[in-house]
Amino acid sequence: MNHPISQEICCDVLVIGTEGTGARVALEACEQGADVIAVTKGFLGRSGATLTADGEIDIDSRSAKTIFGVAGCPDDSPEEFAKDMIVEGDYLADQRLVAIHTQEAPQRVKELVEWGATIEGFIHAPGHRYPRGLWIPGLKLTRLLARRLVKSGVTILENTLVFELLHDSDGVVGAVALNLPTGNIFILRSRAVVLATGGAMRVFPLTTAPEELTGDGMAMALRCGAVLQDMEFPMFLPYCFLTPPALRGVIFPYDISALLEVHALNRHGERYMARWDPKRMERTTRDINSVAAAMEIRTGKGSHAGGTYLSFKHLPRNLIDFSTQWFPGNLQGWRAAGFRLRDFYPNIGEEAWEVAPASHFWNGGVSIDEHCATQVPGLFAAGEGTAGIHGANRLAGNALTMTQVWGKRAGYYAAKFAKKNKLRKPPKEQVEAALCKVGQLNQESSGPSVVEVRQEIRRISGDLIGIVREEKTLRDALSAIEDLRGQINRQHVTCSDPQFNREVSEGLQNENSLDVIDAVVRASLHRQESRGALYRLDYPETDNDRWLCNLALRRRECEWEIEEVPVKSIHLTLPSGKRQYGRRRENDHSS
Amino acid sequence: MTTVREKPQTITVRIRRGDREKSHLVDYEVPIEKGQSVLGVLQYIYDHLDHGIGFSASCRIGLCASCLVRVNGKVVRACTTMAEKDMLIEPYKDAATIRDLITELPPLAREAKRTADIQGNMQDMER
Repeated sequence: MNHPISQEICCDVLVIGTEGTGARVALEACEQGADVIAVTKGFLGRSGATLTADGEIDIDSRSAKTIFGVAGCPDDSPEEFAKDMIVEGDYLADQRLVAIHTQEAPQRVKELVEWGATIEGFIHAPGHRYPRGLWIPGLKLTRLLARRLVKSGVTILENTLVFELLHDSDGVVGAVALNLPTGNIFILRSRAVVLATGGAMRVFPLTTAPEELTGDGMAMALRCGAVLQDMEFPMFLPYCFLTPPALRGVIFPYDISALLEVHALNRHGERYMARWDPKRMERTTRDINSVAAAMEIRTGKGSHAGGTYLSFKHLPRNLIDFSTQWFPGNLQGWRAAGFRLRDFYPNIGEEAWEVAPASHFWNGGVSIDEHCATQVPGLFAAGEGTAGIHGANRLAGNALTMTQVWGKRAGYYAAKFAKKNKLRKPPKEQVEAALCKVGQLNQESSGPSVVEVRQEIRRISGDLIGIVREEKTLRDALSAIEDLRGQINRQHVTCSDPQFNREVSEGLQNENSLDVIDAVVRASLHRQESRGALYRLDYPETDNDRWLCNLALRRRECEWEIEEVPVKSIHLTLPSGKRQYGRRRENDHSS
Repeated sequence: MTTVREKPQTITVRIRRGDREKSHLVDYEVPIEKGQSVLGVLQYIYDHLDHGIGFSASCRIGLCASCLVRVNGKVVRACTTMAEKDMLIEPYKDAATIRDLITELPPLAREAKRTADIQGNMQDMER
C-alpha cells in the first residue's frame, strides 16, 4: 500500500460541503460554540450548485411584503406556502418538515439581508399561487456566505474530497479524505458529521449542475447504514439548451418563462402542453413540463437536435425589446448564466430555441427528521440530497430556501449532539478498506478506465433511466449496474501524478454515482404509478390509494431493502383515488 | 443560430503542460463543432486523448471562474470562450501554476483559522 495516512485532524463538527447549505451549517455550529471543520472538494465560493442558482429564494408572499416591502400578497402565509409545497410535491413531502420550512424561511432571508445580501427583484414563478421569489443571485449568495465563513473561526479545507464515512456500532466517528493538491489521504475525526453535499445530477448526460454533484453524500450515507428516500424523483428542468455544444445543459433562463408567456412546441408546431395540463399549459410545474417534453421526443415529435422548441414568436417585437429593461438581475440583456444568448441566437424572438429537459435537482436523498438527524447517530444531513422537504417535485426558488433553513438547523443540532458525544477511534478495518480503494485505482490495470466507467454510468442514466421509465428498461438498467459493479473495483487510472489527479477523484466519485443510480432504479421499479418527477409508461396514472407512501431504501451487506412508509400528514388531507398524471390541481387547494 | 449541423473540423490545440518550474508544449488534434467551448476541447482531450491532463472546472456556465486559462495570451474563462483554430492554451498565471492548467486561485479560504497550517502540513509531508 503506497498510501499511508498522512495525518489525523480532530474537531467537534465536520461539515462536508461549504456552499449554500454547508456554509450555513458551519456558521451555525460555530455560533453554538463547536470547533468546526468544513471541507469542500472544490474551491470555496467557486464550486457547488448554489452559485448557479438563477436567483430566487422563496418565502411566503405576506412576509415578503411585511419584512422587505416588496409587492407581496397579504392573503399568503407560511401555511398557504406549505400547502403549495405539499400539493405541488404531489403529496409526498413530509408535512412536519414543510411546516418548519415555511415558518423559518422569512427569518433566514432576513439574516442574509442583515449580512449584506441585496434583494434585486420579486418573482411569481409557476407552481406558486402567490409571488414568493425574492431575487438574490446564487453567485452573490455564495460569495457572501464564503466571506462570512472565512471570518467565523471555522477551519476550511478546500480541494479535499471526503470519500468514506467512518463509523462504529454507536454511530459516525469521522471520515476519510483525499487532499487533491498533494494526493495525501488523511482522517477527519469528529463528534458529529453533517452532509451538505447536494445531489447527483452529474450522473445524467444532460445536466445543469456543476462538476461536484456526483452523489457523494447520499452514497456515503447509504454505505454507512443511513436510509435513502424518494430516490425515484430526480428532478429535470424542461428548457435547457441542446445546441451549440458550449451551451449544452445551460438553462434557458427559466424565470423568463415566468415573466413572459412562452410557447413550448413540438416539430408540428403544436403546443403539446394542452394534452398534459390544459389549464396551466407551459406555466405548469417543471416535473410535468419535463415529462411532457420527454414524451414528445420519445414519440418522434421532437426538434431537429432531439429536443423540443421554445418560442416567443407570438410576442410583438417591441414588447420583447422592452422586457430587457424590467427583467431583474442577470436576465437583463438576455443573458443565460455567463453567456450572452445573442452571441448564439442574434434575433431573439424570431426563431425558436431548441431545448430539452436536463437533470437539475435531487428531490430525494438521505432521510432526515426535524433535527436533520439521519438514522445513524451523529450523522446529520441538510439541503439538496436530503428527502422530505419537496416530496416528488420541488417548487421554483425553494432550493435556496432549503439551504438556509435546513443548513442552520443542521448546524444547531449537530453542535448540540457533538457537545454530548465523545471522539472515538475510527475502526482500523474501515480505514484500511478506504485506503485500499485508492490503492486499487493506482494498481489495477485489468478493468475499464475511470473515464469509461463514468461514461457507462451516464449511458445507463440517459438511455435506461431517463425521465420516462418502464419496467423493461429499468430491468436493463439494473443488470447494466450489476455488470458495472463487477468491474468498478478493477477500474484504473493511467496517470500516476498525485497532484490534482482527476482520474483518482473520478474513480472515487464513480462508486458514489453507481450507488445512487442503483437506488434510483430500484425505487423507480418499485413505484408502479406516475407521480411528480417520476413517469412510468407502463403505469401512467397517479394512484393515491396505493402509492401515497415514501420509499425508504437501505442496503445491508449487498442486499437492498425497500420499505413503504406512509406519508406524514399533519396539515393537509391526503387525496384518494386514481387520476391522470399531470392534472392534479383542479380541486387540490380546497382542503 | 442555425440548427443545421456542420461537419466537425479538426483543429490542432497546443497546451502548456508541467509546473511552474518546468513546462513543455504538447499538441493535440481535436474535432470541433461550431459553438464548441475551450473547456469542451479540454474535456475532449481528457476523455479521449490523454487522461493525465490537468485542468479545473466547476459550473461550466461562466459563473464560478475556476476554469480560468490563457488562450493565445489572453486570460479567459474556458467555458464561455469559443474554440478556434491555432489555439495555445496555458495556465492563466505562470507563477500560480500547480500542474498543467491547474492554478492556485486567490486563496480566500487560507484566511481562516488553522486552515493554512493544515494545508502547509500537507505540503511538508509531500516534500
